[in-house]
Order: sequence, then C-alpha cells, then structure tokens
Amino acid sequence: MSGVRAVAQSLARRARSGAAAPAGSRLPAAAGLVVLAAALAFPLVEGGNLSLMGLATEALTYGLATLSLNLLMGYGGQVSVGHGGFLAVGAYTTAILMTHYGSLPFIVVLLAAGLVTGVLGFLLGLPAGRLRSHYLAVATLGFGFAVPQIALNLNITGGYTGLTIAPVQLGSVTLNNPVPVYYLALAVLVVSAAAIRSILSSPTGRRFMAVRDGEDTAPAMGINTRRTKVLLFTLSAFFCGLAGYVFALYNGIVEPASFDFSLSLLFFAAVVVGGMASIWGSLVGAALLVVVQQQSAAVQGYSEAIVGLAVILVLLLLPGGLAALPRQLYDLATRGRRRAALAAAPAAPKLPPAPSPSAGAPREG
Amino acid sequence: MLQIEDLSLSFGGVKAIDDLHLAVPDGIITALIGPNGAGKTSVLNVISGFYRPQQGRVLYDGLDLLSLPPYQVIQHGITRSFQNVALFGRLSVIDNLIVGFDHRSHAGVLRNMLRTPAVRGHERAARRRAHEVLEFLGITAIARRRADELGFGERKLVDLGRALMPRPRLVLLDEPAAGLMEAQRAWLARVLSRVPGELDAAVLVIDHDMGLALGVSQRVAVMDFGHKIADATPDEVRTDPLVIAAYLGGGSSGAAQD
Amino acid sequence: MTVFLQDVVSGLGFGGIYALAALGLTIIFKTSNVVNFAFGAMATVVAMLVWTAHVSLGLPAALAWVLGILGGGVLGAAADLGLMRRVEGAPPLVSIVMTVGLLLAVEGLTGVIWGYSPKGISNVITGRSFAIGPVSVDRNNLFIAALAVVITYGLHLFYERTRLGLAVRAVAEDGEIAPLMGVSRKWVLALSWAVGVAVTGAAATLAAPSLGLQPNLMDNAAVYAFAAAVLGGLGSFLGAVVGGFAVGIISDVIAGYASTFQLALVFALIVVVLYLRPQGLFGRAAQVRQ
Repeated sequence: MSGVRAVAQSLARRARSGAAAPAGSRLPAAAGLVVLAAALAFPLVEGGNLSLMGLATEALTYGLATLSLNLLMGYGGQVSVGHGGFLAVGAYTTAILMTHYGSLPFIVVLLAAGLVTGVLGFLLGLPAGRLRSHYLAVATLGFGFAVPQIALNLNITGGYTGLTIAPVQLGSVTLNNPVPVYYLALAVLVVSAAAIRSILSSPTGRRFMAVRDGEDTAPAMGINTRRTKVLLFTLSAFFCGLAGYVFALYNGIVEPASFDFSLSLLFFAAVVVGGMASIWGSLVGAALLVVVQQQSAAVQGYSEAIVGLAVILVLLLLPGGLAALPRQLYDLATRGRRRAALAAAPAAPKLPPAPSPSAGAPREG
Repeated sequence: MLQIEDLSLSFGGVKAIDDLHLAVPDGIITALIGPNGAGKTSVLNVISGFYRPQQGRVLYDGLDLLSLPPYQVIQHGITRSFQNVALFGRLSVIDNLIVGFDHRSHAGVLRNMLRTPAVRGHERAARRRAHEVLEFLGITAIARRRADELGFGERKLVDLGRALMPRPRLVLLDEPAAGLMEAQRAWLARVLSRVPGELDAAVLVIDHDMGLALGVSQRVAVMDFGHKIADATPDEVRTDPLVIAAYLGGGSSGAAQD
Repeated sequence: MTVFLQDVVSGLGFGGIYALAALGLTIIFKTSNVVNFAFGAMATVVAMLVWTAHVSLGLPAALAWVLGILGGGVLGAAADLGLMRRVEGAPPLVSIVMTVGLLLAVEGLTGVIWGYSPKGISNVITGRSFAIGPVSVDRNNLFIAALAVVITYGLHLFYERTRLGLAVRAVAEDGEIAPLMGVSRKWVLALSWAVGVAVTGAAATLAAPSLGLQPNLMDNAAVYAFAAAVLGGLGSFLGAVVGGFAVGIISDVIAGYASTFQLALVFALIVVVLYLRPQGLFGRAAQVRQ
C-alpha cells in the first residue's frame, strides 16, 4: 500500500512540476517518451495478432480525433456533438483522391484531407462563433448527421457502398499489412500531438484559452474573439481530417455507415472521460473507449450504456476526467501531512512586503 | 493625451454619460470619482471600445478611438483592468500576464506552430517582461499558480500587472481598490504612485472611494449622474461643496463597497 | 399545385410528431434552461413501455399508453432529481455533457433491455384516408396533427391561466421566488422534466409505426425536432408547434425534389436560422448570442 502511495506521490509531483507548461499537459517529457517507446515497440511484440493491431490502430486514430475535439472543447471552450462529420470529410477526401489520382504521394493526400476538412471547419466556424453553447451543440449535431447523409447520396462518394481504397505505397513499403499501417497512424498522431502542443504554448494557444476563460475581457488584450474562434474550428477540423485519412487507410473502405451519430458521441465522451484540456487525457480516453467498445461488441448496447454511465460518473465524481486522477491521488495521499502542516503554521499574510521605492523597477526599452 | 469631448451614452432611456468633457494628460495619475452609478465605469468602457456612445469624440493624441474595434485599442498603448477582476481562470499567473503582451506578436498559427526564431524571441521577451512586472508588484511567488486559485487581493494585482505588461502609455483602472482591505489599499496606492515615474505611463483611475483616488492622483474629475461636476486638484476637490453634496446625497463615500 | 398541397397535408403528420417532440424539449428548456439532448432516447423508452404493455403483456391500448406516459414521466423526473440537480449552477457545457451522457446511457440500456430488432406497433388510428377536394388526408396524420395542436393549447392554458402554471413560469424566471408562490423549485423542475419527457414520448410512440420501433427510433427525428425548436424559437410553445409543422412540411416538399438530402437541408436550415435570426420566429433574442 505504501508503494502505491509513493508511486502516486512521485507521479503527481512530477505532473505538478509541469504545471507551468500549457494548462493541461501535465505529463512531463520523460513519461511521454516512455509511452512513445512502448508504442513503438508494441508491434514487435504483438505484430502477429491482427485483431489487436487493428484495435491499436483504431485507438490511435480515434485518439487523434478526440484530441482535435479536445482542442475545440477543452482548450477553446466551444462544443461539438458532431465531430464524426469532420472525420468523414477527411476519410472521403482521402478515398476520392486515391480513387481518382492514385499516384499522388501519401503526404499530399494526407495534407489534402486535413485542408479540405479544415475549410469545412472554417465554414462551420463562421456562424458557430456567435452562438452560445446550447445552440452551437444543436448546430454541430445537425452537421454530424448531415455529412454522412450527403455522402450517402452523392455519386462521387460511392453512395451506400462507399469507396474502397487500394493499399498505399510508401516508397518500397506497401501498406497492406496492419503493422506499417499502425506505424503510419502512430506517426500522424505523434506529429499532430506535437504540433498541437506547440500551438498551445504559443500566442495562438493562449488566445484560445483566453477566449475560453474570459470571452468578454479578451478584446482588451488585443484578441479578436470572432477570428480566434473561427481559427479554432478550422484547426480542430484540420486535425480531425488527418485522423480521417488514417481512418480511411486502415479500414480500407469508406462508407456512410461508419460515421453515424454514435461515433461523434464516442469522441465527445472520450474528451470528457479523458479530461478536458489534456492532451494525454484525450489519448487515454479514446483508447479506453475503443477497448470498451470492442469488449462489449457481443451485446450491442452495452458499450453505449457503459460509455454513457462513464460520462455521467466522471461529471459527478471526477470532473477533470482521468487526467485529473494523478492530482487527486496525490492530494488524497498527502491529506494527512498537509492537514498537520496547516495546523502548525501561523496565518500567512496575504500581502507581499512593501518594497523600497527603487527595488524591482523594471528596465525600460 | 486623452481627450473626451461631448460624450453622451444612454442605455434604453437612461443617460449614463451626459455631455462629458475630460482631458487625461500624460505623465500623471488622473482620478475619476463619483458616487455609485455616476457613469464612471461607462466612461472607461467607452474609451476601451466596449461601449459605443451615441454622441461625442474620444481622441488619443489625435487618433479617434471610437473608430476602433475594442481589440485594436491596445495596439495604441491603452490598457485596462476590470472591476470584477476577470482573469483567465485556468491559466497560470504568468500566462495571464503574457496574454497581455501577446498582441505584439503578429505571427500566424503556422509560424507559432513551427516555433520560428521570431516566435521564440517573442516568448522569451514575454517571459522576461512578465517577471519584471511580477517583481514590480512584488508577487513573484505566485507566478506559477493557477489564476482561479488565488486570493482576491492577489487577483487584483495580477489584473493590474496584465495591464502593465505591454508598457502602455495609458492605463485605465476600474475600481482597483474595490474589495481590498485597508493595508492592501495603502499598498496599492504606493504601487500606483510609482507607475507614471517608473513605467512612464499615464493612469486614469476610476473609484467611488475618495480616499485612495485623492491620495494618488494629481488631477481629479468628479462625476454625478453622468455629468462632470468638478475637475481640479485633489485638495480643491476634497473641499468642493458640490462634490461633498453629491457623495452625501447619493452613494457611499469612504466605505469600501463590493 | 395539387402536388404541393398534397405535400403540405402529408407533411402535417410528421410535422405533428416534430411539433410534439419540440414541445417536450421546450417544456424542459423553458423551466430549467437546459437543452435535454437525451430527449429522443427517453421518448423511445416511452414507446418501448407502451409496446411492452400492449403487445407483450396484452393490456388494452389505452392502458398501455397511460403506463408508458407515466413511465416516461418518472424517467424524466428521476433524471432531473438524480442528475441535473447535482450539476445546476455549473456552466451550460456541463448540462450539455450530462444530457449527452444520459443519451448514451439511456439508448444503450434500451438496446440491452429491448434488443435491436424493430418491433411491430400499429397506428393509433387506422382506417382509410379520406379526400378533401383533390387532396387525400390520412386519418392518423390528422389525428397526430390535431393532438399536437390540442396539447399546445392545453399547455398554453396551463401556463397562462392556472396558478400552478403561473408558479412554474415564475420559477423559470427566478428560482428563488418559488417559496413565495407556494411551490418547491425542486419539484417544479422535476415536473417539467416529467411532462417534457411524457410529451416527447407521445411523439415517439406515434412515430414508431412509421419509423420502426428500435432503440434509435428518435435519432433522426431528434434533429428535425431540434430544427423545429430552433426555427420556432427555443422557449416558445407556439414556436415549437409552428416550427414542427413547418419542418414537417418543408421536409415533405423537399422529399419530392431531393428526397435523400432531407437531413442535410434541415441542418442547413438550422444553421441559416441561427445565423440570421437566432431567436427563431417567436423566441427571445437575449439568450442566443454570446
């Protein structure tokens, strides 16, 4: 028991020391590298297990989609109950390009998937930025329903049967084997996560969070709220489009039935369960829900019910999601020690001491 | 120098500001006081672009501020604090401060993502400046704390600090002392009085409490029911019968509200 | 022209269903300011209960309906008392997340309990359509439309003319006032949820014969109902019913020309309305824009 406590304490201590980093990405670099190494080594151990590889790839893809939604909701303060629509746009763009322009290099198709989806995000973001959360949720709900239906009815998207994709050629490697597809998914995810992290610790990211936390006061700091929200939607859609590319690749077929409402709800639930405004929370949340879905696939409805209950429980008991767990464990573990310290210390003054007139005077220029 | 001319602002029939003329000179602290509801905060909201007046002009060194959307006001060296201390709750203190400096970076999302040298330079400058401001205010200890975990007094200081970040030429302070205890007010007064000299910025302080405002300012304007009823030195205002009548007749004076 | 008229009349059937569903949504929104994203799933439970009582247990239809509606009311009240009370005061996003979680949980449990194969349930009113001039009117559709109008009027009377209705309206404006009106805020909210779910449940049960009685019965219809509520103005009963009929007619007319793009066009309608006139036809502007 004390071993668990020690681990929890050290985990939480390390997590807290990263608090100055973008709000939410509390896992320091070392732990991240360990996870990355494990992810890289994974196929070496389990490469032969086709269904497990497929599951892992799905976890990576949904992880990226969830991350893109978390960017919108957790870091940007907006809401979307229809992100499956963006995934669909990315997947269909991929499929259409590969069907008609099969010789395009994969990176071009990947970026095209992202950009086309990004444009749609831009278009949705224009009116969306003006709406309060309930109305925004309704609008995105409609979007999530509309996209698959449009795909169902257009010729170019292959209608009901959808489009199939021939395995991709990456140099000398043909991606007709789950292992290379897994690595491609991992690469796209890692690069995207790094890009998102970079954005979040830059003025752009801070603008998103400022609008989230104080939309009315943000203009006083030079923030064009409207523009910021449109950019937020565009970026979120872009990264979801990239996930759509990978989705198309490992499924081999893109059809409207894959993008039904429950997919959007899955991403939404993953953001909540994993923890808003937490990069690794989204990845863990998505992975968890993918596993839940798979395990309860036998009896339809169980996974939906479990996911729904998980969302409700998280809201009631652990609002910060799984990402908040290390901190909660740490607080729990040190409760006794902190209570003692509080009793012993004198009441601390709330004021900083008065400086002398010349102390701390900032330099000019 | 900020110049307000013929300013009038109404909200559905209620005149919040009535034909106001006011000059806010450079290099000093100007106070705008008056009982609750006198229209002081509205003046500040008009200057910073949050309200649009029905009539009047607001010029800053000749520039028509009213033609600007609120998010461009800061580009001309005018910053403000907020009465209800609206910090960005889930950001750290240092990030809150840096947001006040970010408008200087004109890099787009792509450059921000790629961390170009210019972007990295901005981040360094922002952090440096944030530490300067933290030192000036004496609150370096709370730099990494999350804003919504701070005590009220600390939040007020961060709000002030955020307004000081971009080396503004004019700082608009909306009831900076509201809710503070006596010792904290004295502290705030000391900090404020250093701003024109050490930070080379003019200050316009709004307050309904005469004590702090008259103590730090060199020039005082008094409003009541949207009109300006006095515009003189602190000593003159202190003994002005009109001012005294306004405070006795209307809102509170001397007592901390909030 | 006849075709158009026929479309209008045919659209009244589903229009009535959307109107009822939107009404249920509005009842909850009006009092608790919450958009219940689980409203479709909860309504489906009502339909399932009616089926169980009538088809599975052989109870007379009227009794089955009563049981179903009551069950729905209990479900709604339970959801409000058990869950929504705990997160009140939190920002709107939290209530959205909660109701979405409810949507998943309820729909999933419906599937677990009742299974996924569509169940047979018949229309309330059977019988041949009759003709009014060149237009043929389906009796069941007429019944649904009339029911929607009657319920709306009943709600209107309740809210405007009864003491309890006045109390409910007062609580919607300002919860603190409840004790002065002699009611408990907690129970007023629970009642709104109960009635809201019940009314939407009626819509689901009426729609079940055409849409097929399975757990995702109301998924698509929910989008139409949302469109109806948005078009009519969230928070307005008249808006809900007018919006419902409008959406029903519009989608029927669309079906004549571009039958398979209905959802997409309804979505476009939602976005356009929210962009141009967010308060819809009869709603209040203040609540919509940020």
